[in-house]
Amino acid sequence: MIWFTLTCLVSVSAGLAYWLWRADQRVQRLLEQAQLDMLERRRAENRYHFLIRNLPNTTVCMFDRNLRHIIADGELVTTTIPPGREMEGLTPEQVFPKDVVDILLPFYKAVFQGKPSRTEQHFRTRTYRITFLPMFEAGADTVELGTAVFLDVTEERATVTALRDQTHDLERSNRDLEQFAHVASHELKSPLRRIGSFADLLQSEFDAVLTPEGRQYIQHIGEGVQSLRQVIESLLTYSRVQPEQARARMVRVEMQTVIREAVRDLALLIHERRARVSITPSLPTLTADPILLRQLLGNLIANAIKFNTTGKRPLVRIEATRQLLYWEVRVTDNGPGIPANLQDKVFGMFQRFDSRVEGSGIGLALCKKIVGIHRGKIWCESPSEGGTVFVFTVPAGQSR
Amino acid sequence: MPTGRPVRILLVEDHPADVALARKAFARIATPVQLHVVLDGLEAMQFLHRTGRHANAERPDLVFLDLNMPRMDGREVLREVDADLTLRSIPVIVLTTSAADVDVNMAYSLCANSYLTKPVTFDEFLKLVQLIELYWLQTALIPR
Repeated sequence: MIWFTLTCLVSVSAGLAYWLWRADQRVQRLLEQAQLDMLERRRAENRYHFLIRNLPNTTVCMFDRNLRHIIADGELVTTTIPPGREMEGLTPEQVFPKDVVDILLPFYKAVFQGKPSRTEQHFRTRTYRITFLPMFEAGADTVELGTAVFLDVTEERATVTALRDQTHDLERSNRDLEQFAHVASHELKSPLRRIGSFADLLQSEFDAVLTPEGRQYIQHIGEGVQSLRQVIESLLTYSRVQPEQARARMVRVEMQTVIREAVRDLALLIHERRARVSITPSLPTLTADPILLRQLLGNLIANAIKFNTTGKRPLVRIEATRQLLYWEVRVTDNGPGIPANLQDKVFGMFQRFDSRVEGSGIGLALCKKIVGIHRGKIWCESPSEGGTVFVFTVPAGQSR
Repeated sequence: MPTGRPVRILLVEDHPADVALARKAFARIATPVQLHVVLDGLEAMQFLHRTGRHANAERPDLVFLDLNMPRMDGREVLREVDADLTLRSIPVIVLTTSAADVDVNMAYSLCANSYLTKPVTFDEFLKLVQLIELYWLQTALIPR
């Protein structure tokens, strides 16, 4: 009996021990799992903290209904909050200065009405663009948390302002210059007309008393008047091309049509020089001021013909190729070519390189101005096999 | 326009050199012309209204008007003549260096009958005056 009792006891206690051991094992496992979960959570927390802290110029805050920050990290926290102090667990009142709180608190509160908002605020020396967003509970329309993302836009703002000021200054000085050119050329015209007219009268009325030398002088006066008159006309033409007006006139233009018009304008020159102008059939539709585009192409074609002093029959080829963001238009001639050291200078005002060819000295300067108004570039190349290529670009924009 | 007396022209021009050129050119045309010169808009209005120094002035048949002048410029003269019913019928020819669109539009919208820019050489100016003679003095009918 005793034996039986004993065996029972042993087996029961063994069972109990086994059971206890199993239970302990289970607890152990749960504990381990909890520890792992904790570690995983800490890791995740670490990751998003790392992420937030290293977002450039950005601070991210999440806060609960009591406006207590649950997550707060980023540039603003690391630079504004004293080291060692945490924003997490604290309300805006507890971390921000009073004036900042007064501005921000209404936004903090509005988030819990489900309303997102964005504001730009200047705190101390920095400017922040702040976006407040409500975070809804999964599958519900109650706001669980509010988020505030602070983006430091101080540098961006400063750059934009500086750029705006610079553009303004530049536009004003351009306008002044155009105004000056316009007024000056008008003011120059009258005295010049008098000089020329009285030189004429001197010649016609005093011819009998003039020596051959005297007549020569009068002729020099006349020539001087003529060239100065040309300069004034050129200045007026140049100053008449106004960027604002041109941009207001910009429309969709078929380049093919514009070239045909430019060629028609030059019919006499083309006929006299027996020139051939060939145009590739595939030309784009551009956004441009039709008057100026016609002037630009007309100038380039006329130059290609006029400056061909080789004695050969002038050939001009116009083609356009689409680059990624712009159209490149090439006007190629079979003229004498332009030496590399002069290729930039030809676009300057009153730069004349071939005295045998009559010209205003303004044509290419005007071309450069026109291309600039259309936000393109112009340059020239002279291939070793001869001839010159004038290339200009026009932004493709919405062109096909 | 065959009448006994020479054509009375009022030239409103401030620059003596331009006055001399105009005198020269008008002296070279066939039609007899009586040229009166005033130096600015103010004097032009005195001439037209026959007041002050010009109390004895006679009504001109044709007015040549410069635009840029001291004291009272041609634009103001056009405005005043345009508003005056007794003066409006006198043909006014603007003769100026300005080729600005605003000036051309302004002149024609007031009482200007013609707008001419001053040519650069005397020969061209003489040609212009001959054209004026042919049209305004020999072809067109104007109130006399």
